[in-house]
Amino acid sequence: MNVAVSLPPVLGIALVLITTAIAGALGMRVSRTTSDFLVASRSVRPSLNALAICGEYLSAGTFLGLAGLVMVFGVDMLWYPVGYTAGYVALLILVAAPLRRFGAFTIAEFAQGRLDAPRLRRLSAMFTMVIGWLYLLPQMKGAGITLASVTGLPYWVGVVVVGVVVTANVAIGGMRGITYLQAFQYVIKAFALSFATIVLIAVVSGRPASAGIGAKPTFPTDRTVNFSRETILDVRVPTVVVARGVVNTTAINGSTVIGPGTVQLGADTSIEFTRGSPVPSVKRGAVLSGPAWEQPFKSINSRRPHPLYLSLSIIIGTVLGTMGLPHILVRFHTNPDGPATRRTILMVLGLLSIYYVWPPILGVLGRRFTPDLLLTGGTDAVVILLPGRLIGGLGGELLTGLLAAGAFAAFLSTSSGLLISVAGAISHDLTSRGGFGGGVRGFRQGALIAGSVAVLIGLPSQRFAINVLVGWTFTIAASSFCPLLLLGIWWRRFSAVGAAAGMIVGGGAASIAVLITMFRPVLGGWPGALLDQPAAWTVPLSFATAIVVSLRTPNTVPLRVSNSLARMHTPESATGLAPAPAPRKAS
Amino acid sequence: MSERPNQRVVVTHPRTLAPQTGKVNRPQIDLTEESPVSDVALRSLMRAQLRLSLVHIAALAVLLTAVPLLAIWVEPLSTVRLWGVPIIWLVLGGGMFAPLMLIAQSYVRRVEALERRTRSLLRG
Repeated sequence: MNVAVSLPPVLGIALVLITTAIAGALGMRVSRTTSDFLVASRSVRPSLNALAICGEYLSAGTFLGLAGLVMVFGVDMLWYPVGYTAGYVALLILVAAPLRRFGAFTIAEFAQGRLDAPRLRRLSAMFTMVIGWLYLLPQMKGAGITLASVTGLPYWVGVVVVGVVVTANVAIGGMRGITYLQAFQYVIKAFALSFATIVLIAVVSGRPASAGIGAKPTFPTDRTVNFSRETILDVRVPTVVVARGVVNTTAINGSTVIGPGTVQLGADTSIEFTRGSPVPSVKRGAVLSGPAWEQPFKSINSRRPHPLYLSLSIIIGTVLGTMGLPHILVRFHTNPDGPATRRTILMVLGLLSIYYVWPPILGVLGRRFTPDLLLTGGTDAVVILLPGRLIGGLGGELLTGLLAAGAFAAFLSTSSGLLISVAGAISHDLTSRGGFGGGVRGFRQGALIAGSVAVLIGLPSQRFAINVLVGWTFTIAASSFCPLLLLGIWWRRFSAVGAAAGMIVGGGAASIAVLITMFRPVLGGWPGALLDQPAAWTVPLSFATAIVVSLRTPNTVPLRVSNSLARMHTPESATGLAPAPAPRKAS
Repeated sequence: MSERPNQRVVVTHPRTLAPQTGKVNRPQIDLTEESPVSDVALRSLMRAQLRLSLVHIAALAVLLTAVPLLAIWVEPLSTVRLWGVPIIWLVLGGGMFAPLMLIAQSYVRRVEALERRTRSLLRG
């Protein structure tokens, strides 16, 4: 697609990339030891850590994807931000301080140290890598489509650019190098999102009153929609359009009437809709009718037949998945002690709350002002495209530039955190000798590998919706690491074999469900719903397996369980000593 | 590490000064040692912490399940509009965050009080 390259968005993105690169180079000067690289030597202040955590937690999924989801599916998607926030509350209440006190660098290390099982460390490392790379996919996609929307450059350029910058940064400075950067990137994206939304609301409220947000979408202006792939439309009302391409197997080049009924469009067909025309639905896509979009839990067609189950599964997946994200959990270890960790999380909650209100508003605006995205499936780009459509000229370009910069800040910061956890898993946890000789050099090699794989798998991933990818990540995390952590922190009789069984069965089931959903056509009814959002059954399965197997293998309960539990639950300065480091060989 | 090669490194144990000051920051019950007393103390501490955590998790669960149920049962939430949007949008899009924060703050307050009590108990 030919997009006139306007300067401000390119400048905005370039600015973010350059500051990232500079900060990364500076990071080389302060990061020296493995401790620096993996946990910033445990010296980060709560306020700074809170900003950095938000920087890395709020990814392409919330900056771009959430607005797109709300635009397509409506109110039921608001459960995502609620779930993401509630997940942090659950983390605070059940995991944060004890995990920090245990002192391990990574989840894999926690698994080994707590359960006395080196093989568990490798298993955890593998899940860390799967989750990390899966979560990197939507970031890569976000970068690709943002750059494409803004500059017209092909999708792969954005993927490669983000991959290279992030890998270089992480390899150079590790965790300590990127903490300030992530904090700064949070500020950018929070400002971009809030300022842009407020401006857009102001622009929109100046227009004639609308019929409520749930009205059926119509084209606000004349709009040409390019269908690059074969598409089947469901047109309810006969609509006059100008078509160039193949309509219902007839080549057409001019004015014609489509509908009512299904209309088949050939690849590379463009349809120009006039202002006020109703937006048709796409078969196997979903333009929900007004009430279904606006009201919670209203099923509309066979594609989403169990909305209550789906919503509950979203809640479970996001809340428990937050507890299983390796790059978030390792952040806690950058705090000096347990109470600091808790304070950090309180601040994170506040920062999340003020951030999450904006994307849904943009989704609502998108439904009204960029409804053509509903037809092409490009709803992930709604945030970037809205300013250009609503505000013409330089103002629109500047706002687009701001949002593009914010979007890139989002991808860069989340990708950095993810890359660190994957690199850590590769170099630190994958083999019992500590990977490639362990240490800083091993970490850098791990970062290079992790980054290369991320770019490679990011290139063909444009067809997956950003939030679907994020949802899968959370589901697998919830089904593998959440039981490990909860049972490891609170249950005396947790055994090594039980832990492994829980992870393999639960995490495996979730992974298989994800793979099936990725590569097979969408199934209807209950099987489709269960596979699409499996968290509601894979997580209980994981817990049940871990518990039952633990009870049957009491001989693999570690001998030092009391010591581990004491270390995790004793308040600081009640032992007369500082929090102990994890009992592992120094690398 | 980042020290220069000839820098002197001071090596002491945290309790080196203990005999000199006379007042020792040493816990009377050390939970990390293996003894029946510490075992009982640890179990009791964990029980108290778990109780506190579970109470707050229950509050969280109630919040997260009550809202969907309310959305289904209380019709006006979905139909009555405020500023052009049904109320349920405002609840989910912004109203949920305050209760979540309250639950979090309540937990932190109470767990820090519990830890203070535990510290003085352990010191004896």
